[in-house]
Amino acid sequence: MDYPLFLVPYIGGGWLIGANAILHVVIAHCAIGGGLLIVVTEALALRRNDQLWLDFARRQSGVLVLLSSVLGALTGVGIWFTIGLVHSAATALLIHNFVWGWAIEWVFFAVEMSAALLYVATWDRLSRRTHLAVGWLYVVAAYLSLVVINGILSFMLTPGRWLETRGFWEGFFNPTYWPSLVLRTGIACMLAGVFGWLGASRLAADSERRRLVRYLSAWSVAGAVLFLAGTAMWLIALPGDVQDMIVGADGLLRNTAVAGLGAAALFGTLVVICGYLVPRAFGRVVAICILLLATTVLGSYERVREGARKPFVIHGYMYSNGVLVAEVERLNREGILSKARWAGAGLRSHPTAKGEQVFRAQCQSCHTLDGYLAIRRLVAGQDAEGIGAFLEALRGGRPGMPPIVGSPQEVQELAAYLAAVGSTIGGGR
Amino acid sequence: MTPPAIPLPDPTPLPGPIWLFQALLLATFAVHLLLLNCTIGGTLIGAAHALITQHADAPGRQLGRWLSRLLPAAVTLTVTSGVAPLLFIQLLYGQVFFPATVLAGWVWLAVVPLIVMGYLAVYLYKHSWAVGGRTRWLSVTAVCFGLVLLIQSMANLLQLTPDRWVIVSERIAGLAQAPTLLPRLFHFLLASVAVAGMALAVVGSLRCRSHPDAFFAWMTRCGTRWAVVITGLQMVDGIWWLFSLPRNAVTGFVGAGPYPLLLLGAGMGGGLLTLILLASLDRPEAQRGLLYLSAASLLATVLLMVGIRDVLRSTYLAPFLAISRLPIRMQTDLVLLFGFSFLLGALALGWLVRKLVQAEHT
Repeated sequence: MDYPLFLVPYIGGGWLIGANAILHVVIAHCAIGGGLLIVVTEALALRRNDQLWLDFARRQSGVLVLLSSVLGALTGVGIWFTIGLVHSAATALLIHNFVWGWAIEWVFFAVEMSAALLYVATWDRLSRRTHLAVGWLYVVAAYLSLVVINGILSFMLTPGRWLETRGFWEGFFNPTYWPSLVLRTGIACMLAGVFGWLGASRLAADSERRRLVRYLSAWSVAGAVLFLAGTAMWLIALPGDVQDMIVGADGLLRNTAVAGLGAAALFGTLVVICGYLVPRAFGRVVAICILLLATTVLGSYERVREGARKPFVIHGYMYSNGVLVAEVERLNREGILSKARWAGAGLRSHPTAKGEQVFRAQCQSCHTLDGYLAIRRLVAGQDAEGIGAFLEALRGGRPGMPPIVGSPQEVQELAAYLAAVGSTIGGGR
Repeated sequence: MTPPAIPLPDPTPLPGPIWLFQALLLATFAVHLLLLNCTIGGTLIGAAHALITQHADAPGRQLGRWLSRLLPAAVTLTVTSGVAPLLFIQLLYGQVFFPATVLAGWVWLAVVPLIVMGYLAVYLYKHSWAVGGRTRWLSVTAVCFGLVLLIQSMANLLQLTPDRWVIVSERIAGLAQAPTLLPRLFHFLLASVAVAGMALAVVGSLRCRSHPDAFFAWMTRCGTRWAVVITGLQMVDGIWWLFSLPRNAVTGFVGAGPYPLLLLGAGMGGGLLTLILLASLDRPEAQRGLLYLSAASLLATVLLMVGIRDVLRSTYLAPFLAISRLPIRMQTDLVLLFGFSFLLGALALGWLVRKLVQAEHT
């Protein structure tokens, strides 16, 4: 919070991260599952001397490397850029705690990318055995990078014993580490099947394609089963308050979770019908539909995981506006602006400028003025006294929202600013 | 408004000695810098030749085609190698890295789509050779990567000058208003072309060693010419940069004992030696020993410059923060685990390189 503030108009910082992250997670999981699929397919094709499968694996490898090395790698960098801008303090905390994890993950990432480039460039230039070995090296490195990054991602929702010990391993092998790994492995296999379906939809519709589609469908079905098992394990491993938030307290999260599970069920049904029961129905449109369904499944999970963490960015330790749980009392005494020293940067002078600084410091990481979680319509027509009383009541927090923090004077100034905002229409962000 | 203080560091102690993180920062940055130089310089050289060469069979066109096969992989490796120094810089210098990048905001964020666009254009250029090659794609890449270099230079400079933060927070144009920005940017651009030219010359020479080939002999001469001319310009720009440095950075540099000055002297001497060696090559395709010596000298100069850059960063930031005071809680198990992973990774990469060489010979 003592860092400068990066304010994203209309959509808010969360959605800036989310828009980039969803693209990244789909490609990254696809790169892991799809890579495994291609290498296994190559191995099977060689064993059976099947040219169609070999050509298929070769074509798909080119697409996968292009996708993962351009969009996958760069949206990954994009996540880092966006979280650093929106949540500087949380990013600094994660880096200080998990720098060795990230450094190890980088080693695997470097091997993964190098192996992918060599694999795709040497189909006819290395012996079959060596080429397969390069492929397996890619698969192992890609999966190991998931093994590492999963520890850091799951930590943010369930830091577990790290809250007491501050130890790397307690944070890394946190309560949802293994369920998340199972779940993400399932998603990777689901997306492998989807990726394969998209490639197969370009082949001539004959018995050979049907055989290939059946094989690819098995990946999707196995992935969906693994995903559902992982989801159940994950829900059980969550702390009680987070479980309550998902299954009841927060309607949006509950609906998102239901939509995700519904999409998974529909995904499985469609794969079984078009892959096994009515192969004639298989085609490009169906392949695109299951891609959308798989994206919905993964997107719902990520949205629920992120949403269930609210009001924290590191559960139980740091609120989503960068205020530490341990410093609430001090900031109530000394004022939030004693910490948010950049809240006034670039701000024009006006009668409620102090209140605007308080708003920037503790509200604007989630709320915009007129866009996502717009504050103007919430305070429209209310006077400063009424808003002030409401804000004082929010010092105890409410589900999904950090407690209001700051000296009584600051809360009054915030109320005056919000009343001024509520009395004007439009013109803000 | 009063200049805000530098943010406090995250209270979590560093899980290893500072010298180790610094060494990792410098080592990974050196690798990244060399790859970056080859990628950006290769793009610029390729685009320049493609623009001035009209005849379809001219070696300049062949160079474009040859580069188009390498550049996608070069960009991937450049991006991949850039992740590690980004991690270590955030760890050690997060107190200035985060504020500077947040103040640069959308400009800083533009780096990601610019790299994506440049990257896609590289692939489009590669595939355009099926219909004779479309130089405009390489030009798109050159422009995108040039802009990335400019943004990176502005953001890096802002990290080093917290006294400019308030100005930039009030007016984003303040990002570009630093006297050292232009010489700094040119230094990176020129270094990229010089290193890429040298790399082309060395690869051309290696290719000619086993099978004499007119194109690779031309590439050796052409790369050498680029390297010599640009290294000459680099010497001039280096002096401009040195004189444009703020007084506190210069006095800090000079007053920090003999090590920084020795490093600077060695770096400048290395540059001069490279220039002399390159200038003495009149038939580089036949003077392999001298060519490889020039390349080694240039490589050593680049590595020395990485060290000088680090010292300069410390002197710039000396009035504001001292990373030596960051708390440490050594985690030996994690250091060993990283060392083990690094070793495994290095072995795997070595094996992959061996297989690549094997594939090139088939």
